[in-house]
Amino acid sequence: MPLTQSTRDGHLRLLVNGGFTIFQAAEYKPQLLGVIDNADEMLEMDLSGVDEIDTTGLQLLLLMKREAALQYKQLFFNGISPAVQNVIDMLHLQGTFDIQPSIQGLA
Amino acid sequence: MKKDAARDALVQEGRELLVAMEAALLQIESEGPSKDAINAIFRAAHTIKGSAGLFAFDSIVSFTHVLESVLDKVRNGILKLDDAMMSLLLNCGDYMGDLVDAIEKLQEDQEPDLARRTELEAALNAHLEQVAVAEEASARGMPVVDATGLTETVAAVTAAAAALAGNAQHADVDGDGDGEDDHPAVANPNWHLSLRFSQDVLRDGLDPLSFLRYLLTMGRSVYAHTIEHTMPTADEMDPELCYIGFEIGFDSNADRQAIESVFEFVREGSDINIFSPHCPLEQYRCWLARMPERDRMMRMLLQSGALTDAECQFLNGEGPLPCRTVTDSDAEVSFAKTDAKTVAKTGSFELAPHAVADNGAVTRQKSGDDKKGQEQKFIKIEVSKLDQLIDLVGELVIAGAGASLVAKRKKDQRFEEATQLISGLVEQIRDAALTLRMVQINEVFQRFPRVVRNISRELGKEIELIVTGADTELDKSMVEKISDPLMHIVRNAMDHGIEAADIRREMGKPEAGVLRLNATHESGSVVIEVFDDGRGLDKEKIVRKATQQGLIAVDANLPEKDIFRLIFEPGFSTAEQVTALSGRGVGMDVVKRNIDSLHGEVDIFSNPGKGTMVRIRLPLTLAIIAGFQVVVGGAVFVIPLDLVVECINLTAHQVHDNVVTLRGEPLPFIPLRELFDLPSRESPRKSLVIVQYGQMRAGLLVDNLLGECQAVIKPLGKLFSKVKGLSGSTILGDGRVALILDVPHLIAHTGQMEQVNIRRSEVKAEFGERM
Repeated sequence: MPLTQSTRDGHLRLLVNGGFTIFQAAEYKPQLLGVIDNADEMLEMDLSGVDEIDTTGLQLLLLMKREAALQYKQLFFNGISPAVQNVIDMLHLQGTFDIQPSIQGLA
Repeated sequence: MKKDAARDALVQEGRELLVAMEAALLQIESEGPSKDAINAIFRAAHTIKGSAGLFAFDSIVSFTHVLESVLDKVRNGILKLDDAMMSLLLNCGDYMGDLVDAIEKLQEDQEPDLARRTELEAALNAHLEQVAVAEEASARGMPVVDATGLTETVAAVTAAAAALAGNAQHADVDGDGDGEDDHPAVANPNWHLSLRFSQDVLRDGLDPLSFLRYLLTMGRSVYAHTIEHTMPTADEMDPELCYIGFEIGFDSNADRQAIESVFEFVREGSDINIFSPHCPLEQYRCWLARMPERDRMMRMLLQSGALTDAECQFLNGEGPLPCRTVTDSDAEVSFAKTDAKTVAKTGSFELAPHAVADNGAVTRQKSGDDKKGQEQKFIKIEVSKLDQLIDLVGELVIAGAGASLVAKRKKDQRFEEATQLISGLVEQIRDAALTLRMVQINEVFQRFPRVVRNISRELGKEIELIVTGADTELDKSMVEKISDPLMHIVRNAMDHGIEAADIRREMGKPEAGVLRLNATHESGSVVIEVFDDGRGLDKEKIVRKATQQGLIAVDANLPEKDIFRLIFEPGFSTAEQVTALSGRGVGMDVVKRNIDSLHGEVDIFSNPGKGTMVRIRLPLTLAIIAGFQVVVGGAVFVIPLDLVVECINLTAHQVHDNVVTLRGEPLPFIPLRELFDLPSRESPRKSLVIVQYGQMRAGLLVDNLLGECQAVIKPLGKLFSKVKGLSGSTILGDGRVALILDVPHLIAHTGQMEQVNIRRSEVKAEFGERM
């Protein structure tokens, strides 16, 4: 399964593996939104396994962030793959996504 | 047909622009150079060139091109707007007017005046050469400027903060940089790309991110914003559609074509805007104007450093309110975060070559908006259509009068009430239709500053022109016809009236002569006055000349007013020397004739050594008047209601030789029946209609009063053109024709009778002097 849910320190953690592109988008969207619904207060996303991301993937990440905020839930990212990092750098999105290296260090 | 219409439009537009150009030049002369005015001139020349270019009127294009080049240098402050330059520009404007005239006459292939053109072009080119030489000389200084640029780049991060804070020191640097601030360019030294993709772009197998990746092989992104608020809510969002857009600052040496080619494949259905570094702020303005969420965009541009604080204020100051209120507060916060980091990290810097919020730019922007407003306020209508409307209204008035007549005869009260209501409305329509034709006399007056300027130069006299009442309204046809007579009068006043400076000094007058143009409404007519504080008319000289020329008898004892009137006689001139402007005795008679043809009147008042005033009195309109119907010997006559003062019963007053004593004052009157030789009819009482024209009053003796009516003036045929006392005819409601009395002439007639009677009654002479 490219999307893997687990729990860590009492909060939900979502691992995305493989492609995060238009080929997965339609399938991922309800699942990703469902994860937010299920999360308590905090949702951690690990994108370290994402080996390809396109505009749809980025859109979904932005949508999740917005949705989490609407539900007063914290969405943070722990683990960024080079492909994702590339997009973040290109679009200066470092501030948009809450990327937490500290937790990464703990892991 | 179509081309002719376009030609007319071009000619008209050209003329309007030339008038604007001239006005701007004269404004500069009186108030000193202003950016507004200089830009107005430039815009005028540029627009004319552009329009003419569309029709391939090459002559005007090539001429205007040279002019435009010079204007450009003037605008950039490279060339000075001195007196010589002003004259040159005015002359060039005139020549462009000639070229436009040629187009109107379908003679655009012929050069109106080749010698003049060559001369003007030579003068313009001389200025351009002068600039070229100067530029060459300063070319050696250029590398220094470049070095400054580099230093600024190095100090980019600090500069960004400095620029945002509007640091004064930074402004100094700017001042050294480049003086040009007419086309406000943005300070942003980077390309700015605004990318909104077609929603289907992803389904088409294209990924915007991959285009960006490719783009970044050509340079680096200085800042980037992801526009995500365009994304619908989670439920509605289709993950396979592209919602997001980007605003990217791009630092690259690539040219526009290269950057544009990156997005070639996604261009269709997408909104891609590419702004070059330091592009005109105007481009941003246009773009922002059509962007939704303009406010948010502005903030983003400001935060990222694409635009400076000052630039944003400038754009905001004039812009409309944001289209939408913020709905997504979260997105807002995230933007703020991004921006802060972006600025800090990349140090998007401001070279700010100049403060864009400078007043000139702001006011010009305003004037542009004003202009837009005016375009919406006015609608151009062919005059013939308007005339048609007024003709129809005239017919309506006649038909309405017919209807109310029928109603009266039927003695049906409700019918009568209905027709009364209708005639009330018809009256309003008539008034409204007539005001459509009304234009401000300013249309004529606005030519005079230029005329006065030129003539005062030519004559070496210093003359100040004061225009008052320029907003007085007058029938359009009248405005056109009054222009030439006025021009003659003004020229005469300046040439003969106002003395040379040294003579004025001797006489203890201020050196600068004053010429005043004034227009006002007065009892149903428009009064235009031309006043000068010159030497005044020399009565004796006029009489002498007139006697020499056999215009008057040697022993004629004329009142002052009539003596002055002699100058309107054909061929009459008292000027000792004939100048280029006047003195040939042609002109004043034309003035008189023109004004007569408008049913107007001209009077001269003069005070030796103090000045002269020429007063022209014109009827308000020529088409429809409110009239007063009277019956004389079975015929109906119409008197313009504006001129009627009161009606009295004559039998109750003391009458002596066609003069009635009214409230202790003598008033001459005309028995219309005798004047027109109409059959006598017994009528129980005689009524006197007292009319006033200007300051003169007289009575008209009639058999019966019928009351007010609307009279549509139909001109009398040529056959009756010499008939005095009648100014036109009109059709009554019952189809009969009524003649309209020419009150000014009738009043003048009483004056003549008075001349005859002058020895008989000294009291009457007093009346003649009453003014």
